[in-house]
Amino acid sequence: MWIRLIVILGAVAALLGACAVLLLGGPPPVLPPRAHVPKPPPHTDHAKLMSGKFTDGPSVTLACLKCHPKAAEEVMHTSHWTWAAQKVKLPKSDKVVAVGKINLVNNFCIHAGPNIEKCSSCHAGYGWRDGSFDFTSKESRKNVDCLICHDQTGGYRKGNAGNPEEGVDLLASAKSVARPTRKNCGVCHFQGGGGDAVKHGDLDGTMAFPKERIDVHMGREGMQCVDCHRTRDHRIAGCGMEYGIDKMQWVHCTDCHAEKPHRDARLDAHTASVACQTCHIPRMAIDAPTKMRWDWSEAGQEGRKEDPHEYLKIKGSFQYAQNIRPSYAWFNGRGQRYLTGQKIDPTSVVTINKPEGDISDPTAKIWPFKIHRGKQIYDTTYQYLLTPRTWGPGGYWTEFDWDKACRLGVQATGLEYSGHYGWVETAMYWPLSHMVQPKEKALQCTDCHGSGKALDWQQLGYPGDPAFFGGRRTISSGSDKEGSR
Amino acid sequence: MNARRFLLALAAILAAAATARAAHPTVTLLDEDRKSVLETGRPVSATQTCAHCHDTEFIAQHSTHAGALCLADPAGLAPASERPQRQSVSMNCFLCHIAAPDNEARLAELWAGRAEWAATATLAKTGLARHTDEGWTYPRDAFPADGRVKAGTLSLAPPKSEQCGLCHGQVYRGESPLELKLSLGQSSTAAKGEVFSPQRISASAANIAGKEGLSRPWDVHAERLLECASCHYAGNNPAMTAPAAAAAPEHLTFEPRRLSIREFLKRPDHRLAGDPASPAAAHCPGGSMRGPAGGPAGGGAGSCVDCHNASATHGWLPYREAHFARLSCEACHIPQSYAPAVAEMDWTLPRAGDEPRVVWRGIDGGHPSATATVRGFRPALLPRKDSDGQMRLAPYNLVAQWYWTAGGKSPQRVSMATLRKALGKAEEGGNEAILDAPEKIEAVKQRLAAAGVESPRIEAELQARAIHHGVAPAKWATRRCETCHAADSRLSEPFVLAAHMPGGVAPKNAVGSPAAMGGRVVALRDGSARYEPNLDGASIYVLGHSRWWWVDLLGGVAVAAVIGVAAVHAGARIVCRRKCRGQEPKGENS
Repeated sequence: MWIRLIVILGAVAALLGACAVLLLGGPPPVLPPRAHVPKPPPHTDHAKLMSGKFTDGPSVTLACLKCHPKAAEEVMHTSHWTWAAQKVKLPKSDKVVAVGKINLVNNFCIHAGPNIEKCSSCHAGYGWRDGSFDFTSKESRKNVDCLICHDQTGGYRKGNAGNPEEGVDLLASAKSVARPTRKNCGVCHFQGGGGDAVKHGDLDGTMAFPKERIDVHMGREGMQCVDCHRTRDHRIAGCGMEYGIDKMQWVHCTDCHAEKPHRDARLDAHTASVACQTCHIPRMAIDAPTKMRWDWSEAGQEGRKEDPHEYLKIKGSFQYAQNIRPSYAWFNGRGQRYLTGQKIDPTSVVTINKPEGDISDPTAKIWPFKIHRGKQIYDTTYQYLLTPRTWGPGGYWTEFDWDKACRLGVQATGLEYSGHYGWVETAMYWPLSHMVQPKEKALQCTDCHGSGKALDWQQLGYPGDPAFFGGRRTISSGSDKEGSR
Repeated sequence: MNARRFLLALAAILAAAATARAAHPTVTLLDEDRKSVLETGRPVSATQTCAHCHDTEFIAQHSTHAGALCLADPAGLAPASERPQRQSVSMNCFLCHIAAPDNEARLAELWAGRAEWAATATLAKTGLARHTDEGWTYPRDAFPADGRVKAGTLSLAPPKSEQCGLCHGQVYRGESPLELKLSLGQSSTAAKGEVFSPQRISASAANIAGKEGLSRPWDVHAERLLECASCHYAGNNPAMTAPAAAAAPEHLTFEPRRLSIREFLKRPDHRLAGDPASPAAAHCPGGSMRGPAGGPAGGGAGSCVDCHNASATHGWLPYREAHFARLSCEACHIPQSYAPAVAEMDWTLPRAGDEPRVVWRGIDGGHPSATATVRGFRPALLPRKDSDGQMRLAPYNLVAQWYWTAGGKSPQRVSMATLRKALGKAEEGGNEAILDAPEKIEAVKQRLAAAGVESPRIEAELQARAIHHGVAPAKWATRRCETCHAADSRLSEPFVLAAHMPGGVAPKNAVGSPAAMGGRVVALRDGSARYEPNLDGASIYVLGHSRWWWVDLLGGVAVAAVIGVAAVHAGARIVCRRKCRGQEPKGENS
């Protein structure tokens, strides 16, 4: 009798177990992308922790270091402090140099070096006026600016040499510190190039509190920059273009999203050759116009009507554009960088940072870019781009003398100046990763294929529209499933 | 392997098509006597002009587009009892094959009764023909010195979807927001609410309710770069069909023998795929467009399976084959029409232009207007007998029509001209006037009788117009089981036909309707009418929805039988146990 009962109970238990396996087993549930965003640590209210009178920025930093003793040293190892994180091998040389904002030419304000006292208002430190600034010593730790990233009063402003402007309530700022918000990052990154929306096509003041139509991550999901640009020991992940031999810590869409997220085989097949950004950032500079061209050669004209979006005597003429389709190029994450002093061919457009990769590079994908075109000064004898001093005493903005500006400028960058200058066309690529649109507003098939004109297939290396000619795998090998892309 | 070859052949054809506009040789515009129109000034004959290279006689004989057209009723909406007179015109190759045909000028000539000038008028936008006070002329400066028109001027090529849209409905592939064109001239749009456009509905200019959330394209095939000709291709197009393949022996997986491009261009069969007369249809008795491809539904579900492997993408669907056997692809993939379509046509009173009173469904107020909210409509799912003999549910728009007939045994429709003659000026009727009271009907009857119309009476018919376009992407297709498998599912959802029935006459099903309309028209007290579908007649049993008495009975009997058998079995065991208890030998341990 008991044996029979045990057998029956065992059978029932086995049946229930089988049901449980069927119900609870199987593939794990697919988490929504939001679930992959790390939860920030709980906020610590610093209002009661900070007291006393802060006379300058370093005094605030010293107060911070009492509880966060490693923080300053961590920051001093980041590019936000050094402005020179990337090491590159010099062309035709085995010499490796660290490059960054500190020593690279661009086609906006041209070079930070000769103008560093002004440019360092975006430096995460205090007191950078010239080449004597101490980046490494322990004594310099007090010069790390904690407030630029952590202030939440909105009243913290930096002036020349990165020091707080007169009248800033440092105590209030110190009491307010918290996890960085979009506004903290935006203080510098929205204002790159000398004003809102100047430099980046996908970062401007509208991203501080964006609506969903500006950026789905920040607008719909309320995400902060550091939700994606995840930070460890003050090292912030993310990089527009990798130039050097240092491996950067990238931010990928797939950190949160599936690699093939579309539930549509045709669309998923695109992910091997097309970056997510290409379709999901169909337009840049959605609300705020971004600078597309800067012609320095027209600066200094007397009597010409001034308009910050068209012409300024100190800067030359500009072209702005709003809500425009990006340019597209193959990009494997790395770029070729024009290094200060590198020879140029003044008869053609000088590409200051060319994205690497082409149709034959399996690691490259088609990416959206803002291409900023410039006309800037170069030495006609030495055939390289010059680094004029624009800000400050003797600078072009005060004396409107290019020759003098160049003589002063090369002192900071170590270049020779022949005394003869000319103007050359330049281009800079700015990869786009913000102002992301949801699927409802992403590019459609017909935007690129068929009669769509978003992509120039032949310029990208295809014989024609891959919807009809086949994808790059087909072109190169003759058979591949992706050929149908 | 054959799929790859097919794709390569398709790519070659598409590439050829892309360059065709520039590659076409120069053309001399000829008149009916094969003389240059520059010399004679007579109407251009497309058939003679093109006959230099193409066998236009063969094309005309193998075309469903040549020879006749119905001007007054391009949508084919007029009652079947008496459609307006079809006009016989010469085949007009230019309308479909030049890049910028002037259809308005062409129609104007046809309406004016100058059909011979229709082809000439079609060329108006090319600058080769110009309309002056003296009629159509050919400006000499628009032609090269030798009179031969360069390829770029005409841009002759295979038809683009826009050309098809000139007659068949709204086709739009521009970047600016789509504006709905609601008129009877947009035939498929008017009759079925079909719009062929890749644009997201949310991006259109139409005043559509809830538009912000409608991120789907108007038609997914348009979004995925298909042209009308991608499915409705020439019947002997070698890139699409292999006539010999139908008879290929079993050991062949690919039939390489087919028409050369030269042979095809000489005699392209213009009975386009999708047309029952097309040789493409003949090659596939299942009703397929693209040869005997077969498919998950046995090649008979319709043309969708020519390209789609439904089995591969419907793994989530329970009883997949049962669904394929009972549902057309469109039933789920056209769950909603977001453009309005005609609901009522009332020919019982004369109106301006001899037009009927038209009421549209899916738009507030029933009449196209810039401010009215467009709501679209959910098509009626009606059983349709497919060419494989299988009854499948398919989406339809129902159009109700009212008109006067006369005569006894074989009544004839009273024409609008007769009606106008009997009742006076068209304006008398007014656009909103309707015969909704016995005294009004009687008054019209008396006037018609006075005009010699014998036994006038109002009749009404119901047309079912199958919807094939406006296909939604998979994510927008019907997926919820309850949509159909519920007692009050859409399968029995009444379909509103009309707010008022002229004369109180309920419409009857039109003769020859493709849909098996087993439902009934119900006249409501407020004077409106609706159609109530009934699947019983089509022998389609839908689990959770249908109530067939014998199925219920069978189920009840089965349940009762199981309970009964179990009870008998258990009872027998209990009785046996009791009986056996007294007979058990007494063991030592018991």
